[in-house]
Amino acid sequence: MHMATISRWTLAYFSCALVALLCALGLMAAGFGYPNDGLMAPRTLVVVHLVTIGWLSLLMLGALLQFLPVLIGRELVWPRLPPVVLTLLLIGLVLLLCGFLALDSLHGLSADILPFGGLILLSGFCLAAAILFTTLLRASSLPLPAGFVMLGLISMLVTVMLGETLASVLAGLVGGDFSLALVEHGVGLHAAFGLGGWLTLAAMGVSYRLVSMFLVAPERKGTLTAVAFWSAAVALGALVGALFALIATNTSWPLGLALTGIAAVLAVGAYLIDIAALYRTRRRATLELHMAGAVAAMGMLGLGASLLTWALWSGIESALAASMHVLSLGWLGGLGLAMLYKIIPFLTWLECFAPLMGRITTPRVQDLVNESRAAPWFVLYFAAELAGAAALFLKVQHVFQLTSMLQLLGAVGLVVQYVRARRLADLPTAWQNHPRPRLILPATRKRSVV
Amino acid sequence: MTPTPRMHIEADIRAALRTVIDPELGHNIVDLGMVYDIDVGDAGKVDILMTTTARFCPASAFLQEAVAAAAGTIDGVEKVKVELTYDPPWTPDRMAPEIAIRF
Repeated sequence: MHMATISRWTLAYFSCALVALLCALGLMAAGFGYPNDGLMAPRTLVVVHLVTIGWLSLLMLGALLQFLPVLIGRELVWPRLPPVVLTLLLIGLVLLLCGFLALDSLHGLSADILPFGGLILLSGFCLAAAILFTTLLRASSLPLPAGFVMLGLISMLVTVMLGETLASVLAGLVGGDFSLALVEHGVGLHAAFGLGGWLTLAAMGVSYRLVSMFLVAPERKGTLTAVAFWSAAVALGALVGALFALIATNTSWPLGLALTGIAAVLAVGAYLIDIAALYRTRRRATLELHMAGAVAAMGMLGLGASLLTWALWSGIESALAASMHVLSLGWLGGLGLAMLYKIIPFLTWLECFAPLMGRITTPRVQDLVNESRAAPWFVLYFAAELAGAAALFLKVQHVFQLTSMLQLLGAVGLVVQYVRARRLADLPTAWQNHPRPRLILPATRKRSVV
Repeated sequence: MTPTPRMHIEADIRAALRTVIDPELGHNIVDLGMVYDIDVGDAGKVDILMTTTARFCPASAFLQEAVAAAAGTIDGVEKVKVELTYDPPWTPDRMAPEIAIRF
């Protein structure tokens, strides 16, 4: 196979993910969740899962449906299933959020829908994992970036299964000492598997390939990449050990958690140094806006990981909340928004202009965007992230709401840029009258679109 | 030495391929060094060996089709076969110096 096909559903995943991001930021701006509510309060859990499942997981799955075939040079298997996965995840998420609201004594809702929503989410994630794993296993060889994605997918499954168990406990379906131990020690593991194992490792894997492609830099295959990968594998293995210890003994395993922390810090450090080398060895002198945005996101990974290490060492709750905010919305969310600024125009170009190459003069992908118009929204988003994390750390509710409002404004500004790219609104005049594609679901083509 | 008709056809094809722009890098594929070989055979049969900047890129087959379409417009060309190869892979060192400077 020389060419990866275009995933027809990727833009639908991205669109739902962006709606979830805007809703989450809107709720934070309205004072919903931490620090107005407790760190583990149902309203905080609504915001957290809207970000991690609605925004980040849908974004990552949409990206993997498109880029896993590029990573390994194999077609995606079962191309008719991605819309089924998306439907299951959306229904499951809505029910899960309603279940959290039921825990918050919302009248007319039963907490039983919490594990029911979790079950539907579990089926959606399992189906997604089946598609992606089967595709991965058809590769003749697995490059290290694909290895990161594989670790990420394993973590995704553990996260969702642990989450479903927690949902059953919160709904009162599971009791006894195990439920107490799970609530006390399992939530941290659930978050570590989700944010660290699933989302961060998958983002690392995809970014290795995308950064190399976009910067025209030689792929990284040296010691640092191997250190990043194997440290991540050790961290994940120790985390699995801690989970088994919890299941077997109803207690946490401090040594395993310490090993996870040390290996994770090593993995993040090696990854960041490796990516910096990728930027240094690039042949493309000028950084396009999406790659500059990625630099800000990688900086957020360094900041968030440092803050998390300190928060776990010091036990300061607000520092933990701030680190989660930086890692989820600064690192993963910021990287996602930056990559969307390239991926959406690229998919649009493929749909509108690729079939015309060689027959008429076609624009470049970069002609579909206007960087000077988009740059201020990126600056606003990342600046608001830093200010928001500071406000969370200091537990200044009104300032946090204000920074969330500004971050929402930045995100809305970027969504407008994505829509402009889809509508071909920023193209030079020579192509102004070119037929516009559908906003979300590309038209079916006979050969190239699955 | 007088140029043969085949050499003329090859030069015309090369000129036509300069209208095919790599969508990501923004330069034509000839000056980017993505066209490895143009072989003009008997009866207007042309074999083109080319690569793309990234393996398995979703744009690869479109570039392949674009090259076939552009070469097919040249007088004397009856049939075009375009083959993609990644051995050797494309590297920035293949770019024409004037492109590399502006890169």
